[in-house]
Amino acid sequence: MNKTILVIPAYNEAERIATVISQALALVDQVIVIDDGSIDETFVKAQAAGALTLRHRINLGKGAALKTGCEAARRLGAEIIVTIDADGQHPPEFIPQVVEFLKNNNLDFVFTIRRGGDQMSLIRRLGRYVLNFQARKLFNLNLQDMWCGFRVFRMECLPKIDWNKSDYSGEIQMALKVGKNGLRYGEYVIPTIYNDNFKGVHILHGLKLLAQMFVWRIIL
Amino acid sequence: MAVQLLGLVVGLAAIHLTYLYYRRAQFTKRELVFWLILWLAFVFIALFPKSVSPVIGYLGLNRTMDLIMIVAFVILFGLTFHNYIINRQQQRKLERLIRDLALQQLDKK
Repeated sequence: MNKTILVIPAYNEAERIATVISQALALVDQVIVIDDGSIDETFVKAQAAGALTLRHRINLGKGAALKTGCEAARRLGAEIIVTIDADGQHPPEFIPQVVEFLKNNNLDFVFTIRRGGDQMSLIRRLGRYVLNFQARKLFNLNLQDMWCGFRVFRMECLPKIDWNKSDYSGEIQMALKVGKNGLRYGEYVIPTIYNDNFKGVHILHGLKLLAQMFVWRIIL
Repeated sequence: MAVQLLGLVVGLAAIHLTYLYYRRAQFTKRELVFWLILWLAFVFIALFPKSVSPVIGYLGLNRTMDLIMIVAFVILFGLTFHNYIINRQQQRKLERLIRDLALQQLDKK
């Protein structure tokens, strides 16, 4: 039995964090929440819900929160790391299925594909398409949803996918390194509920990322 | 003449501030020497613009002002790059500090 630890980066998610944790607790060996400098009650609620909660004293970004969470998971002896978003858009009940998919197919990394696209705004759908297309051309990474935060990977991959961006693009760096380093990856479809269309990345993030990907093609 | 006078006043004010920062221990001796050389050269050129004529001829420029503009741009670009590097270093140090403080909580739990 591989020790599976769930890492949840959270920023101002007091409203939903407890529900996500309570749904996930029985499905993994441990839940780690990184409160990324929230100004609401995210930290208190995550702790009360039973997660091991660590706090960034100031907001650093999702990439940095994930990095802290993965490092904590490594120190706690995790063999498999699962990451999901704190806003409840990824159903935790799918964690065992995605972990099994990783094991049964002897994969290093599993990305998930969000279904329920009719709830996703048109601009986000377009951004997702362009980003996936560029990753395919530049990094030979054939993914349908590179930006989805629900991921499962083996701990031994961590040094190979290490990212240095502290914002949202850290997740993309992580994904591109999967392609660049030739890790075995797969995709798994999950349903998604979009709770908040105003959170997360916006069009400027996407444009900046498209430019950055050319640079990463050379330096990563 | 008025421009020369303005250059002299600006240069002397900058030299005064440089020395003041040094006395307040905000500049090291190395920084003091660097900025003094820079501002003294500025004052010298302001007072004797003809002194740079050989350099202007060598570079194929027409006026002293052209040389000053080019040098100013080079310095500005250099400083921008330097500031960018320092800013990135500070960001990384801050990020490492915040992340280390968070992971210290793990040891306590």
